[in-house]
Amino acid sequence: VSTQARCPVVVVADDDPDVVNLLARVIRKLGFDVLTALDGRQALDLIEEHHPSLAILDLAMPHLTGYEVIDTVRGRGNRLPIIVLSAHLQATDRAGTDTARADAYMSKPFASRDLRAEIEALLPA
Amino acid sequence: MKLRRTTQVGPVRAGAAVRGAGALAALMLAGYSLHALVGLGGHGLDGFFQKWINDAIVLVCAAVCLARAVRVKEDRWAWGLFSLGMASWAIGNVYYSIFLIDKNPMPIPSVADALWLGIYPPAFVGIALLVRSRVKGVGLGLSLDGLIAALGIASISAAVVVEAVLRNSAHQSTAEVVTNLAYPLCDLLMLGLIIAALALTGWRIDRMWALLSVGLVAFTVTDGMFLFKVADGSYAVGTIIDAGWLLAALAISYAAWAPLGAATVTSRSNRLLAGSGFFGVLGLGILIWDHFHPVNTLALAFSSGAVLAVILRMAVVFSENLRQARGEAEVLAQQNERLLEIDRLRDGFVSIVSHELRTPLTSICGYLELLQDGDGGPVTDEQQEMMTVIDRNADRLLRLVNDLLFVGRVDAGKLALELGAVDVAAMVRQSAETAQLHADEQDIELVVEHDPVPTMLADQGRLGQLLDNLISNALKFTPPQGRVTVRVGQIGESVLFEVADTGIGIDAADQERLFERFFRTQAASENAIPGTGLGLSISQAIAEAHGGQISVRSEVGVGTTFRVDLPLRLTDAEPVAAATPALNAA
Repeated sequence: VSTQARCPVVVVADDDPDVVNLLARVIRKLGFDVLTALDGRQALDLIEEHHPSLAILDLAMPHLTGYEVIDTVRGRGNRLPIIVLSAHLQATDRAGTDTARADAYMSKPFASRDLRAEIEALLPA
Repeated sequence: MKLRRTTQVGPVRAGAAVRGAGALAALMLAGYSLHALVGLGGHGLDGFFQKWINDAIVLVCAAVCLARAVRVKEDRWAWGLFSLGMASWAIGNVYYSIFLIDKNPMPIPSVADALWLGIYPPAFVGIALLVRSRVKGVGLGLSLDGLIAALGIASISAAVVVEAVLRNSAHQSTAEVVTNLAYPLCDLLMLGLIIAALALTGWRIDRMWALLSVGLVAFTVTDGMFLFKVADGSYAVGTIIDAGWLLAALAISYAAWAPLGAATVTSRSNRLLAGSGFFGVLGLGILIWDHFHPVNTLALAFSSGAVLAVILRMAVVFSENLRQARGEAEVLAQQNERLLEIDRLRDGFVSIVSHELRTPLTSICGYLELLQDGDGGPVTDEQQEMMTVIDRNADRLLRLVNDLLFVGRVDAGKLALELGAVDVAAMVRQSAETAQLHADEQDIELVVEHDPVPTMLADQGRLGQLLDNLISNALKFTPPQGRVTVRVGQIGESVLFEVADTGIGIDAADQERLFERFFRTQAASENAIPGTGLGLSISQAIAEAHGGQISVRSEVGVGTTFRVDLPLRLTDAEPVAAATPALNAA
């Protein structure tokens, strides 16, 4: 068990490994530890096990979709902030988003400064 | 269902000889009739005139028909047969004139009878051939229509003509009765056939059918009158009755040279059914008549047949309608299914475009950003320059993807506005600020002029997209040192945006098609100004979704002004502020 102050943990889930790695790099730069998952079930396991400060989820993932992960997590009373990041959403388009489920929605491709802004808004230092 | 004309055929050109022969026959008939009526006061003609004029007319007519069969390919066999029938008739006449005219009583049957009865078989086949060459697709229903017409007319004729012949048959030999009956029966058949033929062509009576019908009806009616008068004992050779036969020959020979009728595809037509109904009622009429004045068995058989055929015809109509209705329902169901399938495919396509194109773009743009930020190590100026190109093009690709998605949504009727309170002036300033960098790069002055506009209910994202499109277009088509002016203001109950440039302008022809999807002006293509031709159609869709409209006025070499006119919807009950005319009508 490390005695060092641990960085807050962010779980990142996307079925595209390139996108997962990109997100991991961008978020690590912001000073977080990043745990990555390539499908919904892995993401759920990571959230259950590591109690992250934030989760960033794709919507279309194998095994469990992003929404299914959110519903399970919320169903277990976990209120952690969740950002949905999906290529099914458009930048100019908020239709179809469900603010009751996730805390923020972002479309792909994303600009890292927008992602940073969302994270800072959800996790005030 | 209407009759459909399938083949159009040209006129039949009769030569001078044929026309002359026809005219001669007509002239002789006129002379004959005049002589029969006036010359002898309706009494018999003298031998020479009766014999040779009468026979000559039929012979000339037969020759005219023969000429038709020889000269013109179409319906050759039919007219050949008609000419054969007429030749048989003429020879019968000649035989009668030479050998029988003085015999009293005339033997029945005679060679003349054989020749005269020889008229019918070729005529029957000829009519059938004419029908076959004109009517395509004779089905059960159509055959019944022909049968009903034939039986209906036959039942009437049998009740009248055969009745008269039978009345006189008591003291006659079997051969005599058969011969005497053969004429009216053949006439009945002929009349029935011609009526059936007209029915089969859906009562589309062209000149050929009209003349042929006149000829054949004249022939049968004259025969009927003749037999009636003979039975009566009041017939005299050379009276005007004989002119009926000659008229028949003349009409048939004229029919031979009538213009070729167009072939028809007959199916269920109202006229056809009305015709069948009429003849069916004739048959029924005879059956009812029989209750009061018993008619002969033949007439009863014909009329019963006509009524039965009508019942059968009704069944055919019912089943055809049923089949058609079922077929139509099935076709509709299939079309509906196909449309749904197309809709599903399009939605699926839109989703695939959205996801599968933007996911790789996420990695491209994201890693590029990391590289540009120096996360991959120090970046030289040259590398930075190259990455700027990648960035610009990735951005262009993303915009294209988004535009295509937008268009897909408009097509699917799924362009939903997310209405909210929009500070229009602020939005315009923001769009202008974003575009400022491009304007500076191109040395174009970008000016914003706005009057106070109340906060309105609109879709901020979409309106911003519309404005960005117009400003970016203006910058693209304006040369350096030019100016782009963005104005916003309120006129009455409308909010107006104008984006005016001092650019190359759009010619009148292009202006009309400007808002068409994928349309690009000649100038845009020639000057290689980048674009997909989607921006303005998207802008128009956004304006229209807000209940507004977009218009353009432009002058080549002077500049272009796009104007967007949106109805002002306030966010609450706040009344529309006193309008300040920010935009001149000019």
